[in-house]
Amino acid sequence: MAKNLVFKLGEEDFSSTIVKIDREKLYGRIVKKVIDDDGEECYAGHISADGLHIFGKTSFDSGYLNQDGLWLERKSLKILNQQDQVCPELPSSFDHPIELNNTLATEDYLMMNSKSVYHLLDAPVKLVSAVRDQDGFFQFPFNYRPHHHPDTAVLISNDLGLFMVVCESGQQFEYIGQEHFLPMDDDEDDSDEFDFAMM
Amino acid sequence: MRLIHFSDHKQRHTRVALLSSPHSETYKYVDDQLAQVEHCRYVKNTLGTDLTALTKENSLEDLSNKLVEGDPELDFEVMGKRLEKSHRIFLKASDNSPAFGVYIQETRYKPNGDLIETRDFEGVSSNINEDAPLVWSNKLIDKVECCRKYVFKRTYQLKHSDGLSFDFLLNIATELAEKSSLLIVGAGKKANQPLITSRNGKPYRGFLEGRIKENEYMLLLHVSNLELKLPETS
Repeated sequence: MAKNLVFKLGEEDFSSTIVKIDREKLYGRIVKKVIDDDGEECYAGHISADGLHIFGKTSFDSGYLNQDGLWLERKSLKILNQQDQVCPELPSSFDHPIELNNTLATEDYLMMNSKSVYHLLDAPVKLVSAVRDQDGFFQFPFNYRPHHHPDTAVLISNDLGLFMVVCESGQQFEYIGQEHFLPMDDDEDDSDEFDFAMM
Repeated sequence: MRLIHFSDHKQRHTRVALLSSPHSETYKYVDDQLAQVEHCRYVKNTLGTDLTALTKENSLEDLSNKLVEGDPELDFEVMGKRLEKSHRIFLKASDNSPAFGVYIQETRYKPNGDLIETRDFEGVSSNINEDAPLVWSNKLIDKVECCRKYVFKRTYQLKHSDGLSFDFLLNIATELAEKSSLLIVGAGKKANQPLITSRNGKPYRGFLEGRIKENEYMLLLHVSNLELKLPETS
């Protein structure tokens, strides 16, 4: 279902409906099926290393344990940021206007990987122009649902419309000097012995 | 270590390392004492105690009575255990019995849902470290224009293994940084085929970015499999 975002640029609010764009919508999809020699459809399961138990689609679940190995309900957990500060839960971005007052340089945008892309369906011309003429890209925290740690989203405009790219940060690449080389894997035998049988 | 066999604008080529970014956790879960918690995966049931097995000989109504009277859904031997090691097997969707002689069939559909074809899946090899290097495409695209056109899914960093490959990569990074452009990287003689960085991996278009700081370089290969455009039906 299409949802509506409100952007606040200066004193003006701009409302726009977002529609998700993905490979399936642009290029089609590929469905893979595993078939056995009887022509029946199969799925991937697991067998325990001792061979005693077979596990199917619904055999596993996951959860959180404290340091004593005791079960914890997810809602009882807190989230810490990299500075070890407790992050409060932030509301969904659909529940409040998004302030467009920060920009991201092209080089910084290139350091992030995209998670999802949305088309801003009926974006007002004034908003599209502001995004197009901006030096760099407008960036803002984006929570599809209420969460403690929002993603970073950027607005990008091109000839086809206005798009919102939701990105994940956390990539850390560094400049490399000559002394920081990475030796190639050496598969050869470490022995100094000269083996005539190898020749 | 993943290697890429790459050629520069002077047709000199060598193999260098292709690295992913070390992933840094941007947040972590803690308990109410602010002590770190552990995320674990555990066994909930086995094939003998899942809903399909339990409703094989019982109606849902009978099963609900049995659930009140006892614990037919629990296998006390394995339930709650953390499965450290297991092997993948294929099971028949119809009755969860082990399957043999499996093969993968792929069906392609157009964006509107129309069937294109059904065929047996053929694995693909990585094509970034072949005998012939990836050629210098000479196709440069302005950084901002590239960001407005493509959506980048992953980024790799190229790294040298010795003094010679340092000079090789530093020169490429300098060339690209001076032009403030990304180089389109592809497989094939015309560099117009997609890159496959691992066996049976997804095909991507590659864009090489160079940055320079004093006598240090950063050479990044951004890969994309999505354009910033609208579906034809929109």
